Amino acid sequence: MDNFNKLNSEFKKTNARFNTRRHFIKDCTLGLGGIALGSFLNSCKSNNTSFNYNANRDLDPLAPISPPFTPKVKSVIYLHMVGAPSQLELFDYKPELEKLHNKPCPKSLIEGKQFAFIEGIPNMLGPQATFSREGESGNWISNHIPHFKNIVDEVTFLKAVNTDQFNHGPAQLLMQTGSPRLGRPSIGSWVTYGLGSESSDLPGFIVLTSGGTPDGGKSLWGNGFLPSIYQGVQCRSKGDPVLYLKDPKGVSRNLKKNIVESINKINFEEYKKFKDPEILTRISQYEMAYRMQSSVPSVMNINDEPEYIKDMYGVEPGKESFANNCLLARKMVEKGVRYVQLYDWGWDSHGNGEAESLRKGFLKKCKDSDRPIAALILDLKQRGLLDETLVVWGGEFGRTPMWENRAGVQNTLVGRDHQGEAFTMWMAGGGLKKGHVHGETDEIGYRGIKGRVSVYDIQATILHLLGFDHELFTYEFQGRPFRLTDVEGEIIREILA
Amino acid sequence: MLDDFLILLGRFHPLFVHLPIGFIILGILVELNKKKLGWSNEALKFIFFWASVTGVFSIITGFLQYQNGGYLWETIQFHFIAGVLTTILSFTFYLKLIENSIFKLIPRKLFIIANSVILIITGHLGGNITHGEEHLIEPINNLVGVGEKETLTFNYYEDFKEKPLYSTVIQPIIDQKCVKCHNSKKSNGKLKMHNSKELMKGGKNGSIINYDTPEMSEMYIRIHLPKEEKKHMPPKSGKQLTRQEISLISKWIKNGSSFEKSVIDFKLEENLIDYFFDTEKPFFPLIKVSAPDNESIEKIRKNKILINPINKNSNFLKVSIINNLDFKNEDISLLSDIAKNIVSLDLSNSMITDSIFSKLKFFTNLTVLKLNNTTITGEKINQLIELKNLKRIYLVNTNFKDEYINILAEFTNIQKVYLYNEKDNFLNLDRYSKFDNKIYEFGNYSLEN
Repeated sequence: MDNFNKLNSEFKKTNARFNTRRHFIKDCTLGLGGIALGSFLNSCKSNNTSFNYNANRDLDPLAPISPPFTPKVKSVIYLHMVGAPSQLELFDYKPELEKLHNKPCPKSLIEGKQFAFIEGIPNMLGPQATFSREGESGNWISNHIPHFKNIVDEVTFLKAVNTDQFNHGPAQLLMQTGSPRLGRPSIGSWVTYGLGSESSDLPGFIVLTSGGTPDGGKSLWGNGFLPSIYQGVQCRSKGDPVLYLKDPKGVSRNLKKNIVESINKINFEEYKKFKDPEILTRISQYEMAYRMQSSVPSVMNINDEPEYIKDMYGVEPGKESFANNCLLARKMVEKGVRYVQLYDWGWDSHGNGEAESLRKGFLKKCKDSDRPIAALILDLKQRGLLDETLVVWGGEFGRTPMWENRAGVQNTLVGRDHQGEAFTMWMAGGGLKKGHVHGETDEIGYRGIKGRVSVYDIQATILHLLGFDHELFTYEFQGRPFRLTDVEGEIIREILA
Repeated sequence: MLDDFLILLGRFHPLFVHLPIGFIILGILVELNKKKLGWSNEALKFIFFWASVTGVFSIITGFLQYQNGGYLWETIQFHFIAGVLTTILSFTFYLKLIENSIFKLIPRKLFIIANSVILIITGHLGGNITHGEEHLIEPINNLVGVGEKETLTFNYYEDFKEKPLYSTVIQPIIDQKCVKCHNSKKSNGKLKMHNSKELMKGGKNGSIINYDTPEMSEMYIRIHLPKEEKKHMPPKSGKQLTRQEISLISKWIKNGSSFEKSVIDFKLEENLIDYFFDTEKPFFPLIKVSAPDNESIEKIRKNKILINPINKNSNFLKVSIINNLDFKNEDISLLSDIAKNIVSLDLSNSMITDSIFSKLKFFTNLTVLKLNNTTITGEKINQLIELKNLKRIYLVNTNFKDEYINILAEFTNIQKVYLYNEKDNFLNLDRYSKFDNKIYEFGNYSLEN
């Protein structure tokens, strides 16, 4: 209670500060002049934007607004496989590579190339999986992901994605923020900034992790230079979903409400004075936190789902798992969350230890993620959500067709090094072709030879499906307009339905 | 030098004409109030003298404008005659006032009435020339609601590929960028371009299309000249052709300037097709609806109902009650003012029942309807058959009865109906096998262990 009294006196003091004689005199002199000047300046501003019926963002920075073009999807679920899964063991079937297994790599292939670990001349490594054509589309699927055949006709493969980053952190940042360096807003932040949040009780951008925190750190869902209300909210699937959301002992919900309202009142006075959007952010975050106290535990609770749905995903209630996160992602999208970002850590199969071996750790990752991903797509489909949701799957880069030889010595376990030149990603959902393959790599999966797409192209396509022109969707910062794709990016029209 | 001066003088015509108008109106006002104003006769003499002088000057500048501005006599003749008449009337009234003329016998009232009428006619005809004949009629029509039609706004390539390229694309470009100066009223360089017949005739230097060497066609050359060149068309100050428009017109000329050849025969590049046509049929209705009024939108928002246009510039709206789950049947009346604007309506998780359908049938443009997690049984869903645009219906986790399922297949444009029910739990799924699984989604997917 002591704390509360302290808070109460603080409230009174601050409130008084806004209503003093000095304040009156100051505002009457400077204020009036300011108002006059303000109206002059306002009339200088060209007001040629035609009136539109979008909600007013002035006081609610998360108010949902419409994009410039009619969107194909309204939400995104991005499944980022942290560590970069091997495309050669999952989707990119290379029979030629089998023939070259354990033979030294031709010098011409590695000359002048930069690898994270490969040194000298490595051997080639044949596919560590068997492949079969599945579904009506007849696309190649590896035996490590048997459930994928149920959704193969729903997805569009991008088989020749390339990135110029070959280390995890920068490559993840590039994938998620459009720059390998820190400081740019993540895709989810851009999207929440551009579209707002439909649900007034849940954040617009939620992040769920499994296996560990990605190498790129929390900047991967940071707001960069956008107001901080647009940053991703990380929810934990184990324990309290959001830390410090519970009421402290001795504080009732009503008391909390009064406190939040009082603080917001003061903050709003502050905002009226300085017009700093960060103050609005703070106000909305207090309000959001208050509402989230009841809404988040309910959306994060997977126990109420029917048993067979839980079985389909393979969830482990009470634990932190990718399966839980997939089910949560569906629930969130259903409840109006705009952008759900999943990070699943542990795909860095160098062959430098059991967990990193293509024959051990990798197989476990495949097993743990195959069922939930297939379940997610099917569950979205049966609820009609797949028509208006975009699901993106991928790592930050791919893996080499060579057997990694760390420090020039072939690793004892089977593994591959990082490769940015060519790797596979897939997308599914509204506005996309189904069962389609775009792009092709050479006979050993080392380079893209057809339909190469860059990270920026993928970002441009995501924004396109959400109703934005990625070249016009900008934010003014440090004297110039910034965009997610910077000066790059072309929409991958070939995969659009 | 003198020519340029005369052109300049002519261009001042629209300015000068307001002088006699002002004088005449002032004169009429003075005349009407002559009892109040003791000095009216002297003043009127002065006023109508100057009305006549400025009137003559207006006629001169108007004539110069006609000679140099590329106007046809047919267009301006009545304006010209009316203008001359106005000046003559003003001058005769002046003569009558100085009392030494034969006009003394004519009653003053007649003068005033005639002068007012003629002045209005002259002004109106002049306005028609500068602003176009639709100038007044258009807003009046809009005001009284005549001619407000639900118009198509969409060029679907599949619909157009068999039609002549000229009439579907080329002429509309010309209408937009050239006809302003090359039409039946105004024809700079004696060239008219408002229809194919006139276009073929060419201008004062002959045909603008050269069928033998298309690249030497006047039209082809002029649109390709650098913007700074004097002969470049459209003139530097006018609205320019876009890159794509230039390449399309060039393609049309190079391929023989045919007025009949269809779009598909020209084998246009993909980027040109993308630019001039919509290659994808839009999901939402093609018609234009009037803008929803902002007050009703604000009212709806106050009730915690989410409402936004489907895109920033659309009059079509998307509505969701996601943040107001207490929504009941009668609350739908909140939306009735803008029912035609709503194309997507999400009433999932609300308290609505089957009687909502009698209200929903007035939402004629409704394309997506979501009723998930409600107690809907589908009893009166046949009322929605009038909704010709309805494409997707979401009925996940409702009490929808099997007997009503097939009604949905009869809806004109229906694409997908989501009927998945969590409670089915794989029991009795065989009963769904008799339904068309292209339209109906019953879900209940499973993954083997």
